[in-house]
Amino acid sequence: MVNAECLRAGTFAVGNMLLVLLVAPLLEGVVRKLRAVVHSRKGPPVVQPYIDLLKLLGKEDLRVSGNAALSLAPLVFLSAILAAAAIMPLGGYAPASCAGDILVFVGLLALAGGALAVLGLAARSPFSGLGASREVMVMLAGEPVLVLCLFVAALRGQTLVFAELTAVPPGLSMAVAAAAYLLALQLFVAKLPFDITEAETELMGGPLTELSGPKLAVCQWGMFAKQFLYGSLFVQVFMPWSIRFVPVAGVRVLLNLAWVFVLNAAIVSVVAVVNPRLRLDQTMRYGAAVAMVAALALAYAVMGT
Amino acid sequence: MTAEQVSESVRARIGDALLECTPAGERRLYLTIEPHALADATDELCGNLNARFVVNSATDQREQADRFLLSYFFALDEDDGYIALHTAVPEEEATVASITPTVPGANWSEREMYDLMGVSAQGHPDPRRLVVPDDWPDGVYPLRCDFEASGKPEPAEDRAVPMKQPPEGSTVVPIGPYFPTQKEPASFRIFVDGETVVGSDYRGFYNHRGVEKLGCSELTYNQIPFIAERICGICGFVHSTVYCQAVEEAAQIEVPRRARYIRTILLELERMESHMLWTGVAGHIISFDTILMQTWRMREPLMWLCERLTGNRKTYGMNLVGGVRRDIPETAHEDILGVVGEIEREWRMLLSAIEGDSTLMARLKDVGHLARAEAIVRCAVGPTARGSGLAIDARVDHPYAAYDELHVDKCVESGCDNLARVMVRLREVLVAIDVIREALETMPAGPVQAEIDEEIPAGREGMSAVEAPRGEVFHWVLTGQDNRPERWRVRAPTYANLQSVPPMIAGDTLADVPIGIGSFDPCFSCTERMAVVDTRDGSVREMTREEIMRRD
Repeated sequence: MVNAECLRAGTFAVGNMLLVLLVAPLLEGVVRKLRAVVHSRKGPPVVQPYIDLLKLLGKEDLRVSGNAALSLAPLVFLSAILAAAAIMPLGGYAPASCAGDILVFVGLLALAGGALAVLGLAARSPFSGLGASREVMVMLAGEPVLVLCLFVAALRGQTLVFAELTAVPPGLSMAVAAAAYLLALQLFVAKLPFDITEAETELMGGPLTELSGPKLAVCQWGMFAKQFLYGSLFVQVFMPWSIRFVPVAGVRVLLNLAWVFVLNAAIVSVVAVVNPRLRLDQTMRYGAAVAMVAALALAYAVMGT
Repeated sequence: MTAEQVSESVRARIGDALLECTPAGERRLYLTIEPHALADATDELCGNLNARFVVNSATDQREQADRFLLSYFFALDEDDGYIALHTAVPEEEATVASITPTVPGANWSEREMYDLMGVSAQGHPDPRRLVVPDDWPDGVYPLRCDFEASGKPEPAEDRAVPMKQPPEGSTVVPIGPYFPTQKEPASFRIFVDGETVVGSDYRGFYNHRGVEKLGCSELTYNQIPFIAERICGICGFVHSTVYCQAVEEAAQIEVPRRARYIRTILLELERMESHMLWTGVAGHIISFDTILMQTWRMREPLMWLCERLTGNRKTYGMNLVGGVRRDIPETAHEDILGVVGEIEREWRMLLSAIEGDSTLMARLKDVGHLARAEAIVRCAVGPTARGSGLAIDARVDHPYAAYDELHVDKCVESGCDNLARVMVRLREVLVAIDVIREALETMPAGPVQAEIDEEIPAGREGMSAVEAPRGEVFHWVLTGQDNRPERWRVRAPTYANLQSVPPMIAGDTLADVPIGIGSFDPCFSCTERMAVVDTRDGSVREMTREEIMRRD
């Protein structure tokens, strides 16, 4: 019986990962299309990110240094994000939640950020080096908000287990935490005005400057997946009511997908087209301000509202 | 201040060293002085009379007079005047005292004078090479008459490339040799401590095209406007206009009023094209691509309009000495008014959107500070100067073409930061539209080209300035034999403005450098014809080519 349970969980975990891998580029494609509309452009087809990834994967694997870290870091980055995808619920059911709770989830995302920083340092170009230090700083700005928001839910639900977090009763603290999460969403996914890590016109791609071919494809895919995960996390934890009313699990997964797309289209891509890039110091100040909002939510949660 | 007063003042300072004094009309003054009095005369003009140094020039006159003619040009912006200070040195003593210690804006001019003509400025604070390639041999000066226009000297072996040594503990971040957002050749080395800029170095002129050399040795008077227009791909018409005006002044050719109006209208259309292009580029530099896409969309109908009027979207090819090649017929007026009217409507919307955008303000306000005093000593011009509260605009201060009959609002801001320079340009688009409307309304009938019967006599001089989108562009022409100038000197606005970069970016963060440099709208192709002086560190280390190859 235990074996059958594990097999089922394992299958769903793999299913989660595949779903994120397969759908994330489409999300990017939709976001690009929206940006094009605001720009008065026609824009590339929504499947363009798939084509780009395939093309990059087929290219020669060039290396700028003999450094093993440079070869491993992209894989660590993508693996950490996929592992996070495996333990999080995408339709109310968290398949591998036996393997970890929200602490592991936060840790995996931090590992992904760390991998990018190592990648930047390993490439040994001044641009990627600066990108690496910025990546760490941006993580320091964003992670506290993420942790505080999840703690609010954990405190309200009296649990650290992901599957149970999707049934946290609403309240003032949850509303404030949701607001803080949305305010920091742009920061989590490193999109304008917070795309300072890559900053094409300043750092020419930051940690990714020296990457090409398959390594670049792996990193880009990881970034698309990361954007998907942060959207999905919000839907699962802060608006579970939006999918829970559906009895069929498969439909819930589809509904979750739809919400993630709406969230990214309505917030992430809109904010990104109407803002210039901020500086590092401004980003840090913004992160600290949102963390205050999240701390307020935590205070409400402690008070039980 | 009249020409008389200026010459009296200079005479009082340098006495008998003032050899000759020739006013030409009320607006031009030519002074000839002894070379040893140069520093004093410059100090009198810039220090006492508030003249603005424009550029200098050296002319090879060894054949006729066994000398190099050195000319220093100054502008009196409040009194509508340009002053040329001529002096001469023999080949054996091809050196003159540097004026850079008193006029920092003369830095590049004097280095260029050595690189191209071999006349050195004694006491220059940074005598590194500026214009010629790193492996250019010693003792070869390409602007001298005995150097063929097509000449290619053997490269010098193992030549040291002097680069500035970054301050202790700082990292060098290279921006270039292709400037990433301008897609033009220019290499900045930014010295950063963490994210803070502590110094900078510049190497440019990778693409020097020898335009002045061609003009003085290969081309004729009426061929030059077309190559002058190709000095810049964005504001080329200003170069052909100012060249024609300088020749017309030297040869005393009266240009018909209608031609002057047509030049004015095209200059303002070009200003709109340039400022709209720049607004998009500035947006792109700070990753606000919505601005880039929208401004360039608005600009496109303007390009089509210019194509209908002149045959070309850019590089109009309309100027000749004595007038223009094509008329703007009455039938085109409605077309012009329609296009600029639509742009005005959308531009006002953009202006209010930009003014209300707090994130944009956070990136632009109090960043890239260029103090008014700094802008003065570095001889900044155009929106760069006007953003620092300097109310200079050649259209108003030194009217040319039809500007004497038209009303132009000077757009001046006192913020001294990136935002101030942005606002100056955004508002100037609207001013340009007003000027175009007024010019179309009041344009007189008549011919568009002067009849020129006689050959242009040799030995005459003409100075002219035009307010290009980036600032004052200045040309000086000394007429010569063979239907071409003996010397044609070009000073594009970026040449003056780029020298203001080090104080502008010092102390900002690295993230502010691209928009800081972008904020004065550098035109590298105009300048290819730039070293940023470190603000903290003067030390220079020489590095040989071998060392660089080893580093790679």
